[in-house]
Amino acid sequence: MDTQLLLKTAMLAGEMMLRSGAETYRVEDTMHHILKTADHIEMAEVLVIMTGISATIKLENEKAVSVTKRVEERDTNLKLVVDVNEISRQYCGDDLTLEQAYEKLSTLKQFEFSRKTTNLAMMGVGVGFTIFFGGSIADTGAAIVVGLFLVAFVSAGQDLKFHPFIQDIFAGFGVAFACCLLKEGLGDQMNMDTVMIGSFMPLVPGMAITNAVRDTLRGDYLSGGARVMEAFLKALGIAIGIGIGLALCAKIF
Amino acid sequence: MNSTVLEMIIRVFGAFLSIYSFAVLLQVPRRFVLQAGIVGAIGGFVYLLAIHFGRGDVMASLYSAVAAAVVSHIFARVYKTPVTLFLIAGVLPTVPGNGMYQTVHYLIDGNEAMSEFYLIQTLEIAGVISLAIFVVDTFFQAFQKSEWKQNSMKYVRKIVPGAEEPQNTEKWEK
Repeated sequence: MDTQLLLKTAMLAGEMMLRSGAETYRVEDTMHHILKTADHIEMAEVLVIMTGISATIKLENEKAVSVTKRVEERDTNLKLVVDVNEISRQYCGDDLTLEQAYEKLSTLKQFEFSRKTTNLAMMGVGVGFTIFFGGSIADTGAAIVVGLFLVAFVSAGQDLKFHPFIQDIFAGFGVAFACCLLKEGLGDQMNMDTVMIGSFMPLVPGMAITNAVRDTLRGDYLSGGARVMEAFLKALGIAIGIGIGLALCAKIF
Repeated sequence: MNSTVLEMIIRVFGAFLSIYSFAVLLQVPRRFVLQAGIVGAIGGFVYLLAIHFGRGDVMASLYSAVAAAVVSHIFARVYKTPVTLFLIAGVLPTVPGNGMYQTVHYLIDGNEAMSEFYLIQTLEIAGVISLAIFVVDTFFQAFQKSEWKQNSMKYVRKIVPGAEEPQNTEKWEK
């Protein structure tokens, strides 16, 4: 068996999962299972933290081989987590050869939904939460408009390649400002708080919160702590953005 | 049908719509998006029910998060997929958006007492969400056979020349 290809496959699988928002233990688990399939293996060790991966493998009568990979960007893409999980299971269950597994991993379709669909979904989240928080029909209509603003601001932030923290501030600002404008137009018909809270929900760091808890539970304190930090920073960014938007509105109107 | 029930149904539908959309936003595979929406609707329903029966925001969040986590774990076992798929979107109706907003709102207004009140409430709700995920995770783990632990020395696969190919005997974790 080709040790280099085995390490490459395990690394690719691990990197894809870590980048897409899998829990730390799941990444370690998957990579370790892949590495263990090597013949004449003496030792296989994987260390995953939120920002990087390191794997070492030692075969009998050979020198140990070690690979480190830095993972900088993180996004939530649960499709990749499920697909990589499935491929690694098929490989470990001998349904795929190593070459096939690597081929499948590297040609995996990246996204389940197009950007158009996710933009529409972002509006759907805002509208849904506005209804959930007890908004009236006017509020729901306002939430659709604010959703359009949110999509525009988020897309602009992504296209301009802002730092993620600035992107959150920017998007939060967009929501707050759009709400204030609508409030001026619609007056008392619209409950601004409900619309605003509903509309910034798509920005809330759901993945970071959930994984922070689950990583900490498994004893991955480093990753858990890092994710708490990530969630906190994201929430802070949104809050600052909303604060700027509200303060600006108070000045203008 | 009285108006409270009707309002409840509309709001639960709102929770379903939002979590369904959020699942799309997280790129949950097509075949599981509907189930994620159902988890969200159940979480939202429990939250509204608890509020209706006079519980505070924090306790209602706890019940809601526990309900969402339990349903997520059941779905994960039924469909044999990672539980995060349902859990990330499912706990979202509980996330303290209101508290976050009011904290900032009152801070801008210069009302520090209210701002502090909402900040503490936000942290409390974040705490009970963690608690709910913790407890439910642990509960379901108790029923799992042979927990996998990484330990290179213990799980080494040795191949003795001439012996038959050993099989992977450990169970995969869901």
